[in-house]
Amino acid sequence: MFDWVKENSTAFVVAIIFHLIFFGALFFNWQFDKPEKIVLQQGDIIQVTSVDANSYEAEIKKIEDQKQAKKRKARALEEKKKKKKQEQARRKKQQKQKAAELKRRKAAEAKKKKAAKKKAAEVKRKKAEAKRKEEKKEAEQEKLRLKEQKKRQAAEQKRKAEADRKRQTEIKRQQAQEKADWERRSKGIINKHAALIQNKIRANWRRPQGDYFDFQCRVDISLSPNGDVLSVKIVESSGNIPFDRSCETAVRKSSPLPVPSERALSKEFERMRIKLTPR
Amino acid sequence: MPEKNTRKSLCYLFIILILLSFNANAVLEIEVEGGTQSATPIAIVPFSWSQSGKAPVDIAAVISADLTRSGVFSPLSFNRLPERPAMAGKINFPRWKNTEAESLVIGQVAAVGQGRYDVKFKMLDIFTGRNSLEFQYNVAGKNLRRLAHQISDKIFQELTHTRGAFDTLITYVVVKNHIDAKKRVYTLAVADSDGYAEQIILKSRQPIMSPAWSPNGKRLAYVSFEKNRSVVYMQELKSGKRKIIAQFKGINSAPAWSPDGKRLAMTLSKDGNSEIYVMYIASGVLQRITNHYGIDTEPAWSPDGRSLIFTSDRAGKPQIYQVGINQQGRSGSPKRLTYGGIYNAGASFSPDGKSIVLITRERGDFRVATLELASRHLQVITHSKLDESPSFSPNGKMILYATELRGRGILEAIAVDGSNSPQRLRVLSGDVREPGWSPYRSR
Repeated sequence: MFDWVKENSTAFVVAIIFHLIFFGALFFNWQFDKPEKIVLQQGDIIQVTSVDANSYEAEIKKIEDQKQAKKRKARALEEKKKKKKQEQARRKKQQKQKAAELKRRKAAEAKKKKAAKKKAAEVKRKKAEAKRKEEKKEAEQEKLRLKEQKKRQAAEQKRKAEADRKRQTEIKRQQAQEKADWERRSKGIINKHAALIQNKIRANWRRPQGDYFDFQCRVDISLSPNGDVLSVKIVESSGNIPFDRSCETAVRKSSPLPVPSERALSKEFERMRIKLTPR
Repeated sequence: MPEKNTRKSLCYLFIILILLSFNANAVLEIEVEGGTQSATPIAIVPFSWSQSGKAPVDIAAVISADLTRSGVFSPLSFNRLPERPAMAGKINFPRWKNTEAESLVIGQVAAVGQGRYDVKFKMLDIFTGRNSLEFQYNVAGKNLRRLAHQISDKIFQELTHTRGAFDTLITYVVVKNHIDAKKRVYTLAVADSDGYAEQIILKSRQPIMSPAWSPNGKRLAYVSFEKNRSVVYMQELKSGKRKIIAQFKGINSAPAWSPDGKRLAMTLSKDGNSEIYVMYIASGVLQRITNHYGIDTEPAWSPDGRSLIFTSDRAGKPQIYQVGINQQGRSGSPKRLTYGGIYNAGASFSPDGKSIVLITRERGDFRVATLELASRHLQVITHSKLDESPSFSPNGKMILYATELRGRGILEAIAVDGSNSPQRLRVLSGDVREPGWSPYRSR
């Protein structure tokens, strides 16, 4: 927080000043709102006293008095009217002054309010700005974290794949090794039996008559473990049906073919391809 | 954890796939070179017969003889058959596998009354047990022998993929009492391709020569000396109706039908010397083809009808020449085809037009030889002394010719490549000459 203040000192000072102005404005406003005391001046009320009617003199006097009183009264009324008029003018002036003052005050107030509003908006903006900055920072941090995690996962996968590959290579190597060993061991036997099979089929192959010297035919055969021919399929025809048939018959005639008795080796002969050609 | 298992199983699958592909590549391939070329061994079991006693025709024997004669098959002799099943269900295949045979033919004949017979036959592959042929027929007794030839054709077709030519006819001239000129009788005969079922077409005290088949197999053209001079006749086999084609001054000989059946090539000497002519049969219009002081004779048509081959001694010794033929007669000049040897004569074309068969002289003997036209390769296929009149079977697989045995003419057939020994045709008696093989018969 303090850091923040330090970082945004100008803004902070401005904020404080605005606060002060604002509060001051509030205070003065309250004073203005207080109503002014107005002294109202009322006309003097004339009191009439009744006199004893026996004396003319008295009466005249009385009438005179009355006349005098009337005159006084008219003068008083006149005075009063004048005063009232003056008073009215004064009051009018006063009211005018008051309205002007009110208008002035209102304008000041509006100005203040506007300033306050502006300030509030500014504060709000600042706050939003701060918040946005905070969020951005957090998002960046999260991103960084995810990236890190991904990196870790990738490394892990790579390590695993490498291990798998190594394992497979090892398996392959072992298989190759085993196969090589096995091949060495069994090559002799297989070759011998291949030759026996070749001889048997050759001996049983009776080609049809005709000029078939350049012909050849390939058959795929499957054998049972003891060499019985289970199926013969022509996979490459010579183009001549009697010739092809003689090839198929040669193989079938040779059943059972001399396969090795050892199961592991006779397996090698379960599926074979035989190429037959007169050459 | 399950993911790990999946990965593990995938890994195993991968390994299995590797092993499989490895195995697929490692399939053993064995190369067999050689084998022996020989006639196809086949077993033909005598057909069962519904009645007691013997069947009117031993169909199996006829088939067996046909196939043997072709040189392409070697039927097992009947006494070597391990069993005689009449129906497929009764075949004991392992027993047949011990014979040489590769195919097995079985059949039944039953008399069904009114001189008619039911005949069934089946051919099976001994090594697969598959049925390769199965047919049944109802025929009159007189057609049983022909039916046997037709069955032979079906077997031949199935196993060689070439049309069989057993159900065909041959013609030949028989000279009876040939030693004694006073009692000598000449007959023109037609028989089945195996020499059986002979029918006499013409009988004469005077020589009959050079019978030739019309392309539709319904007529013969031949030379007869019944008028004490050579005359070319044409005769319809069914009706016996005859027609004189050529009785010009001098020699009228060696008729040969064009493939379209409209023309007849002949040797005539009406203009002084022996020359080749072509006659339009319907109109009698004659076109002279050769013009040479040498002897030109024995014309034979190419299968496309666009050329003739003939024998000529224009170069000193008899050799074979070829000349182009068109609607107007000759086109181009004759070209010599044979150069080897001092005697080449009596040639005729193979049905595919690629080779000709002829008589060639080899160390003093007259033998049957084939000449491949493209390569000019001459192959002598007989080893006899005095062969004559060779002709191809309509499928081009066999050659029929006459030869001499102890002073008597006989007929022999041999495979076109000379791979079998010559097969003698049955001839009852007499001196047999000038055979000719018919075209395919219409069914």
